[in-house]
Amino acid sequence: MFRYIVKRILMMIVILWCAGVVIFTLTYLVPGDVASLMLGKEATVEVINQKRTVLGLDQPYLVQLGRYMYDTFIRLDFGDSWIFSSSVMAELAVRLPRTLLIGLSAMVLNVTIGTLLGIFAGTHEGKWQDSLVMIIAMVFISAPDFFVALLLILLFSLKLGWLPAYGIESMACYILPIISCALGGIAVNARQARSSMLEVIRADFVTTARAKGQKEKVITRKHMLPNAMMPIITGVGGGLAMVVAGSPVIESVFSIPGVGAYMLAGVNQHDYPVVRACVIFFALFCSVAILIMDLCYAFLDPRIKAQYSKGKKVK
Amino acid sequence: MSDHKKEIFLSVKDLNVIYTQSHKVVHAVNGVSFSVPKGTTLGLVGETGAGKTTIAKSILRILPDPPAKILSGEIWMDGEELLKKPEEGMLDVRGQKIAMIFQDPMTALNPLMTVGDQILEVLLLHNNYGREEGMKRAGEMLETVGIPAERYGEYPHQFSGGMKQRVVIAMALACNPELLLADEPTTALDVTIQAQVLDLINQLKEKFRTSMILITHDLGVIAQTCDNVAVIYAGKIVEKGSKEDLFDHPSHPYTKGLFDSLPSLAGDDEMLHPIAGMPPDPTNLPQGCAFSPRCPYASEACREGDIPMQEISPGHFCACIRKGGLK
Amino acid sequence: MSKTRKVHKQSQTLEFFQRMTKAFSAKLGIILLALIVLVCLAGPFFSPYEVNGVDLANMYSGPSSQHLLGCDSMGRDLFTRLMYGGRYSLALGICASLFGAAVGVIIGSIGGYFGGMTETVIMRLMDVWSALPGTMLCILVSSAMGSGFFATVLALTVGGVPGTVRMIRGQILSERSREYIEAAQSINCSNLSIMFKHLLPNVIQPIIVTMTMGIGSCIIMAASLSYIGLGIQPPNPEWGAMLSEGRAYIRTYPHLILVPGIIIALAVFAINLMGDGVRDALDPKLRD
Repeated sequence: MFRYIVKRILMMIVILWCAGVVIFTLTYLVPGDVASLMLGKEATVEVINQKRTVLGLDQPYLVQLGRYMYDTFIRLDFGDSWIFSSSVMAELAVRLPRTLLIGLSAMVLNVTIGTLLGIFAGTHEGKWQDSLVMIIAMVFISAPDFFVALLLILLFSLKLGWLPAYGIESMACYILPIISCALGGIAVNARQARSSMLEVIRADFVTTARAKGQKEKVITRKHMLPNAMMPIITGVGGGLAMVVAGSPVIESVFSIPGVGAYMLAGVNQHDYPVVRACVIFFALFCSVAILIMDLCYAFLDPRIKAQYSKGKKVK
Repeated sequence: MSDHKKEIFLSVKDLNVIYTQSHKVVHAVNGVSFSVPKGTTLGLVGETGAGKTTIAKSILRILPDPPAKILSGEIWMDGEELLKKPEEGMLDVRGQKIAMIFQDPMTALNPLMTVGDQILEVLLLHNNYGREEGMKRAGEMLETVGIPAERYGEYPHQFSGGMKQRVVIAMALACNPELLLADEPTTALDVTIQAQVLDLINQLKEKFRTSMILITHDLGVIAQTCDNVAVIYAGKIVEKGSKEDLFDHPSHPYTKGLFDSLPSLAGDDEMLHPIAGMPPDPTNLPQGCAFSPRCPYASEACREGDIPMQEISPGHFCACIRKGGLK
Repeated sequence: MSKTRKVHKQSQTLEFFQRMTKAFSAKLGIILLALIVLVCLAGPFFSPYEVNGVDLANMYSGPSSQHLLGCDSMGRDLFTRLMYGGRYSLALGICASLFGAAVGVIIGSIGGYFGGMTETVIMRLMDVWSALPGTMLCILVSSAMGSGFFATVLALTVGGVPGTVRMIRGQILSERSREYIEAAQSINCSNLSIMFKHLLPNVIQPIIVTMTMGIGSCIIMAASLSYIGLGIQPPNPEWGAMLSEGRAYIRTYPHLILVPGIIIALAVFAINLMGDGVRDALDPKLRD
């Protein structure tokens, strides 16, 4: 098991390293000269060239790439923003908690409420409760999350005046972003939970438990739920990655100065150190989330655990 | 028939079960009656889909409802009508008085629970054991079916098919049930393992003096284990009697067909004699005798009205208008 | 011989449609989607208004008999813009989904079929590719490529490729070991013909399902892109771009965001219902 974890972490580092090359190349290939874009139309050629030298843009691709990779992955320094000349790392540290607060809370809601709804629908298969939950789930899967966010603002901020529509002045500001992030995921999880519940309800081992004389409630809790949860747990890592990766849109709707908004601003202003740092950060976050969830899964499911520790057992 | 004088433990009277499947009605069990005297084994023989498993699950009332529904019938166990018992009362019957061994050991065990805990579950449900005592007992049950008690903490995926079936058997016998429903306990296993598992069931049955209903499509298994046999075709019993009656004087054309389709080692036949045709569509059973479309002896009379069971010799019943005329 | 085969093929397609339209929800999805597509394609020919026809007298006007869904901040008829925008949104969704599936199928089948070194290299590349979250890649590519239609299609495609490749490869891996492939190899079929004649038809079903569902998520993604100022840009009436324009007036004229938002949700809803229907119809487990 330990060897497996080390192997996964090493692989993750290599993948992130490659991802760094890809991101650098992508931003390098963006048409247009960054220096002249930054300085505006009035800037003279000399000033522009000077700026290019300062930013290191006059160097060949490989030198730039090498410097970037060295700074980012060896010195662990994301450099300074081209626009604000402030440290990207420092800025990320300020913004990160906001993005994570929204992402993690949304994820907790996704899993708990989604699973409960899915189990409810699954145990009422074919009845009106099932249809109702599934139709609502389908509606929320179909509506873009930023539109849901706008509707929530319209209702709770503008019409009812209960919650603030933007900013981060108080914790109340986070309620609407979290809900609009969570609704789509709740719907996805509800559908997943329902279908795995249906599979489990028909499973033979449930009939075995019934034949033992076990109470229906205990069967649901002890036999159905753990088995139905397995596919949901597999999806948690990916789901968290999705929520966090969607943060540029939601943060722009609610004007939240998080990592997503930072990246979006970087994209719009051609501030590439910011963009690269944000994307690498998101990639790292997603990889770690998926790794942790994989390990949880292996820990909970003895079949998977056996697979991982096979190498050891043969000895 | 000496068995008739013995005390009847379980009797099923005129059981009718249907499945509703997207507006179609499947008549799975149609007016089945039989009884099991204490300490004896009844074999239910029939093709796949004849309704054998449905009968067993009806006795325990663990049919999935919907789609399955017990339309009518009575199931008496020790003077109690099981179909009229409240659900809470059935919880005490299941696992304790009547236990079931399932067809496919691969899927009958919860993959996320250790095998020991799965045996422990049924023990704790029906006994006043503490956890410690229950675990000791579960270990003993594992030993009884030939699995070292040290494997208590292992998960089902660490066991082979035959071993899993042993676990299922241990689970079924854990509370000393008075009746064991064995639903094709050997079908999913290798031939070599089949014999071991059958022997094991037989031994344990003797040891605990359990009555048993053995469901199978294998006449060889019946010959090895059963006292009485009922042959089921399309959800109906077409012939029942003692094993000797049936094996020596098969009377219904279907029973005869079953025996004829077995390969014979002694005979010099080079060809098997399969029963012509296919089992009928259970959503659309033929009028009269359900076997008539495939029956070489069928006449017009077979297709009119129900064919009643007739006693052709003491204790030997057959549902054919030829009334034992097949010799 | 060929005649019987044709009959069989036809009945298979027919059977598929019968199974698909059996469920009420799938029927509803198909009808709804057909209606939306029809109105978007044919509607503009009957509309008395220009798509970018500014009418200052009708700025922000609500729904009326003349302007069915009202007008936007420049007095442009919302219904007309919605129909034109639908062409963009639907075309984006369909093209991106098709293109993504095509790229995924090609890469995935090469990897899955040849195995060995080729497969390892492809799968490692996919690991790197999928380490970058799809939304991020989409934003990056869109900003790098500009706001054209094909640039946006490419941006929408790029995030989903690794998933498709993995799925296809998995399918092919399980099919590759089947005996009919060995049979084809034993009669000297070429690699290409085995891949396209034997393997693809057997792995096509999950692709169709993913593709149908993919149209919906591509439309949402395209709308998100326009909303944050990338992808299709105003004054082009893409649904997300319309929403983005309406954002400024949420306080005073909420119909400017409600109208495009609801139509996006409705179109994606219809597509998803249809996708569910397709999946159920193709699922051999659900066949009678």
